[in-house]
Amino acid sequence: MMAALAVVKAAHATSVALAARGEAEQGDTMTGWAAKLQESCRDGGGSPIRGGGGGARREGGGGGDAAAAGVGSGEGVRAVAALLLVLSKAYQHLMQFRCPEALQELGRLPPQQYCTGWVLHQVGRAYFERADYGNAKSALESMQRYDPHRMEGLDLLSTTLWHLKRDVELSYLAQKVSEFDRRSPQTWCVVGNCFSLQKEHETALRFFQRAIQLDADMTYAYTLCGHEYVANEDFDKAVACFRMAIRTDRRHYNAWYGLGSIYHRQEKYDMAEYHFRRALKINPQSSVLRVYLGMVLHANKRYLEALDMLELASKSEPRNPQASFQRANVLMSMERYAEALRELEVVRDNVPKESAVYFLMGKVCKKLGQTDAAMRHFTIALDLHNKDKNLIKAAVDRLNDPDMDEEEKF
Amino acid sequence: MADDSQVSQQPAQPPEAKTEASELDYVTRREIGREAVWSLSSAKPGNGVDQLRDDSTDTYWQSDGGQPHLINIQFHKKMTVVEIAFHLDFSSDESYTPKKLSIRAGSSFHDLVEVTVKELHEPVGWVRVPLFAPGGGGAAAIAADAAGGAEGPVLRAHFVQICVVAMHQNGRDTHIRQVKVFGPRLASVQHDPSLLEFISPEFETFACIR
Repeated sequence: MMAALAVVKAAHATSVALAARGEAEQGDTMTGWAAKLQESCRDGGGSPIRGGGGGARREGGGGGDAAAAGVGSGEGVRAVAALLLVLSKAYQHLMQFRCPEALQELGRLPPQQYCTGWVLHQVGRAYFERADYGNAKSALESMQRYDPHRMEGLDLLSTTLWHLKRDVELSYLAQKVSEFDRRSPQTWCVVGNCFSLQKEHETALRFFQRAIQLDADMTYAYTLCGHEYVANEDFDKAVACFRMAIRTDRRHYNAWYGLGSIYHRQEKYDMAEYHFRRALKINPQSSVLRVYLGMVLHANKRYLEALDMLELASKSEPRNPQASFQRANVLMSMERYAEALRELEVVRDNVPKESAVYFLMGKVCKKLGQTDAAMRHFTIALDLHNKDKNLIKAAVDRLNDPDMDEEEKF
Repeated sequence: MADDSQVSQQPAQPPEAKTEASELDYVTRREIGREAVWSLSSAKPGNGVDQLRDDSTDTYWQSDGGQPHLINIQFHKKMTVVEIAFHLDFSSDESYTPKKLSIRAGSSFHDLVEVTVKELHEPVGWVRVPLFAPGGGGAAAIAADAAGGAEGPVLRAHFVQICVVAMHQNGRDTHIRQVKVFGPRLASVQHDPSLLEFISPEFETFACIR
């Protein structure tokens, strides 16, 4: 039994290490590794292992199930090895943020393995990392169903609900977990996210700090803390938090992104570019990161590079309307208004209820001299938007004043 | 004459409500006092800036010298200030409790312009003073921002000074337990001020990483 556990641990460590190094020839490594795995199973004190039975439970002391009593046979060892191979491959893909591949790999698991806490956690994570929050939510919720006492992954679920703005569900989750285990750092991440969604950033900060008190190595709690400091515009403390997150986990791209977004806001575009690129190096598939990098390049007046980057972003994630929207913004800076308008029309057809799109269309039409069309777009924008009305109204007032740029008032 | 002034004062004094710290609005505004350098005209040892800003209403600043008693709040850059909140407690401070506060703003000591005057009547708890740019422009440091919303132009200043003009029962020194300075809170994921905030779920999903 101990041997099996050790092997699982080794698998864990190996795939993390592989991910960290970013090994290219993972195929070969993996097959070689599987052979080693088989060997070590055989050498491992002669403890007989049978396949099946909850082998995927690696954490929480549940791993013993895998080594349930059985008659030693080459068949059993092979079954475990095959199972571990799939899991470790999937884990390696996930650690390198190749989410579709990870999902595909995990999908090959038999149902009794797939429906376990650890596997569903990784599935949720894979969806989460590619900003597919709907699927992430359902995966993590079924994780809760199959493994109701699992605390790992709940921090992720709470951030998913935060993204989806499900305040009722988030608050229910916070209630439930804080009743269940007050000593778990994940609990306080959930509670903090709940308050953050209510825009009570000071309170949220207190709870994230409590999570750090409970587990000083919890990378994600530092990141969440940093995001709250950013919301309070306390950038020095936010930078310190993100640095702590990176210190505990160098491959935590969220923290690199957090630093980049701070520098972006402070208009230190070169610094921002460096940090976004670091984040992208870790998670090269992320279209959100690419959009941000494109925005920084745009701000640095490197328009062509920005356009290429945004093109890549929309190719890697066609669902991301931000990429095309920012492309239009760049095209506008390059005074290629007709192209900008075409780009925006596509965005509008995909997301018909975004007033920012109409607002930008109005500005483009004004540049093209189509005052009536501009007016129409501004009116729709005004109709859809309930908060920032002043900005739109100011633009409408200046509509017949072609010399004045919208940006000039700043 | 005396009657007249009293009558005119009366409507300007709403009953001072007891407001807890949680009633201060941290949702649409944020505390910006920590970004400033604070100084006082005078202070009794052990009752200074630290006690004024320690988030505890049990400790207080006590002036120790000639009037007027001043709190100077100097920012490193021009800031939008929307509200100043004071924690005062007449029931324990009695004649030390401020009766009249004058709030001034500008770019340095030398060009301060009075923004508002607050008269108080036996306050207990938080007293919130909303701030707007004084009418007619005033000092160069105070810009009337047209985008300030329906309530009026916002106050932007490098330097804010709070002057305690008078105490209750003609007290000489003053006690102020807490002072908070609030600025507006901007949308957390908004980067480009020339663009609108996103409202559709499709856009918001990809607006940030967390």
